[in-house]
Amino acid sequence: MARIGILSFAHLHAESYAACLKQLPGVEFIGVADENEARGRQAAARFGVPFYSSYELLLDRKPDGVIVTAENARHLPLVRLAAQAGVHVLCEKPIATTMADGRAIIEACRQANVKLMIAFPCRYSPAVQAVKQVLDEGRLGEIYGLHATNRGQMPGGWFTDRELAGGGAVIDHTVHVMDLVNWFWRSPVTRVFAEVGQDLLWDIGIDDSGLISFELANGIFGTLDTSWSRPKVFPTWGDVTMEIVGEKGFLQLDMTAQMLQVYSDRQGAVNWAHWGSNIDLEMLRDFATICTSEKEPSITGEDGLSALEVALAAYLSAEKGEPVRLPL
Amino acid sequence: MRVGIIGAGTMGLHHGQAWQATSASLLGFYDSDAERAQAAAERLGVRAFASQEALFAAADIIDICTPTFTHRAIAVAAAEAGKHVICEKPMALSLSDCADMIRAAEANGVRLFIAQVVRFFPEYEKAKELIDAGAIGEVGVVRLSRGGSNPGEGPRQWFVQEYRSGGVLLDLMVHDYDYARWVAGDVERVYCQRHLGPNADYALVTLRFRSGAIGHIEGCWAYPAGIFRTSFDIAGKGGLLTYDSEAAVPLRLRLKETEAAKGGVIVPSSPLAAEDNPYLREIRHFLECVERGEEFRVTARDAMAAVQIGCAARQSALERRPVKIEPLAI
Repeated sequence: MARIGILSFAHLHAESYAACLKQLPGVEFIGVADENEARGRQAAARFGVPFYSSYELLLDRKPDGVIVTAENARHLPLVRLAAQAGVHVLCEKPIATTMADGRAIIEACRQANVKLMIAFPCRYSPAVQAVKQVLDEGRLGEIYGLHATNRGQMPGGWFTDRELAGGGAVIDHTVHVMDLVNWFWRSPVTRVFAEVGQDLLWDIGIDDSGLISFELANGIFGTLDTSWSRPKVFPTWGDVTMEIVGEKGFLQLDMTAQMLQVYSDRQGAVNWAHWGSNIDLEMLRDFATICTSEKEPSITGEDGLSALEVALAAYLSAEKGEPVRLPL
Repeated sequence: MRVGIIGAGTMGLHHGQAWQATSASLLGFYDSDAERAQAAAERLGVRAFASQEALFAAADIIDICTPTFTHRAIAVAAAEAGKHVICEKPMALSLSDCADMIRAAEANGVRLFIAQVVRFFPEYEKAKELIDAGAIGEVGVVRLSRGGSNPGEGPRQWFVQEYRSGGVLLDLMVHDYDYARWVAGDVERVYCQRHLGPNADYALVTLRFRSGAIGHIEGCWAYPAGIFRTSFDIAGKGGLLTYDSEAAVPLRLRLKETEAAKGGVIVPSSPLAAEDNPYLREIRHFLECVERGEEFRVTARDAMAAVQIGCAARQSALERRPVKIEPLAI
C-alpha cells in the first residue's frame, strides 16, 4: 500500500491528482495539507480525507510520498520539507521558476536520498508513447523538424502573477512539450529564439502568448506555440499537438483528440468530453510504484530542469530580441 | 479586352479556363515549349502563338504563368509594350526584380496585378471578413500552415531549384505572408528555421508584426505524394478562428482502386459553385479593377512586401538570426 498525501491545492492539477489517488488500487490518500486553510479544508472534505493545518503535520504521518502542487515559486520549500522528512516527491511542473531553485530541489532530494519525480503526465499518454515508438524504430527516417502547440485557455489566478508563477503563458506551456522533445531525442536544446506577446489576447499585464523556435544538438529544429489563445467559449481546456516531419513521412499527434462533442441546450454550451485514457492516473500509478519499490522515477528532476531552461531562455531571447544559446 | 497567356503549364490552364468564363476574350498561349502551348491551346480551343512578341502584338492583357525566375523580364517587356499585366505569384525572386516590375508598369501607365489567389479563397476571405467585423477582436496570434509533397519531380524540377522558384520559402509560403499581412498588417521581424535537402524543403517562420501581434507560418514540401493541406488558427483579444482543409471536407470518395497521385502540382480544390472558383474570382477582380480604374485587393506593393518576408526568412535561416523588415523603398 502506497500512502500518499498532497501538499497544497494551489495548482488546479491537484484536483485531478486527488481524484486519481482515491481511485487507484493499492494507494491510500492520507490527506491534504495547505497553508490556505479554507482551500485545503474544502479539498480534504471533497475527497473525504483528513486536513492538516501544516505541511509538517502531514509529513509526521510518515507518508511514502507526497505530491507538491503549490504555486510554481513555492515548490522549493515544500520539497525541502518533504525530503527532510524522508518522503518521496512528485513535484508539479514547472519544477521551479528559476534554475537555482530547480537545482536546489534536485539537491535537497539527493541529499535526503528520496526520489524526485516531475509531473509530466503527457509521457503517459498512449498516443505519445506510440510517437516515441515510431521515432525509436526510425520509421520516419531522418527527422527534419517539428512544430508543436500547447495552447490553452487563460487560467487566471496566480498563473498570471509573475512572483508566484515565474511568468505567464510561456512558463506555463513550454515545459510539457519540451519534456517530450527531450524524452524523444535525448538531445539537448542548444538555441532558442522566442516571440513573446503580452496583452495580445488578454489584458492581464503578463505574457499571454509565445512562439518559441528551438534547435537541438542533433540538428533537429522546431517551434512551440505556448499561447493562451483558446477563448473562454472554447469547448475544451486546450491542446497538445505535434507534427514531426521526416525523410520517410510525417506524423501528427493531437494528444487529446479522444473527445466526444457534446451539444447541450441544458448547459447552454458546446463541450468536448474526453474519453481517452486518464494520463494523470497512469502517472500516479507509476509514482505509487516508485514510492513503494526500488523503481527509480523515469522523469527526473534534471528532466524538469531541462524543460524549465527552455522557458527561461525564451523569456531571455524575447527581452534581447536575439537567439539565446543553451545551456544558460 | 483580349488576353494572352504566357506559360501553358498547370497555372496557365487554370487561368485560361477562368478567362473563358469572363467577358474578356482569351486569344491563346505562348510557351517556350511550342508543343505545350499547342496542347493547351487545343484543349481550350484557342491559338498557340509562335513568339512572345506575336502575343504582345495581339493582346491588351498579358497573363504571366511562367516559372518565377522569368517573371521580371516578361512583365517588364509586357509593360513596355503597353499591356496590362497579371502575373502568377510569387511576384519575383528579389526585391529589385519586384521594383523593376512596379516601375515598368507605372512608367508605361499599365496595371500590374500579382495573383495572390489565397485572398480569393472563400475560407480565407470569410476569415478576413469576420476579423474586420470584430468577431475575434484585435488579432494577437496568427498561425498559417500550408504543405504538400515535393512538387519538383519530373519536368517540374524548377519548383525545387531555389534560384528559380525561391523554394518553399517563396513559392509556397508567399501565400501566407500575404495573407498574414492582410489580417495583421505590416511585419517588423522575421525568424526562420529550415531544412532544405534534395527531396524536401520544410520551413518554420515566426513573425512579429508592427502592431505587436505575433505569427507562425509553416511551409512543407516533404509530405508523401498526394497530400496537400492548409490550415489557420487566428486568435484575437476576444475570440478565435480556425480552419483545417482536412476537416472541412463535404465529400469523401474512397474507391477500392484508385490511380495514385503522381508528381505534379496539386491545386487545392474544394467543391464550390463554378462562379466561386478562386481563380475565376481573382481574374474577374483583376478585369473589373482594370476596366473601372479601381485599386486591386492586393496591390503590387503588397505582393512585393510578401516577397520581402520570404527573402528575409531565407536570410534568417542562413544567418540564424532574426531579420528586420524595412519599409519598402518604392
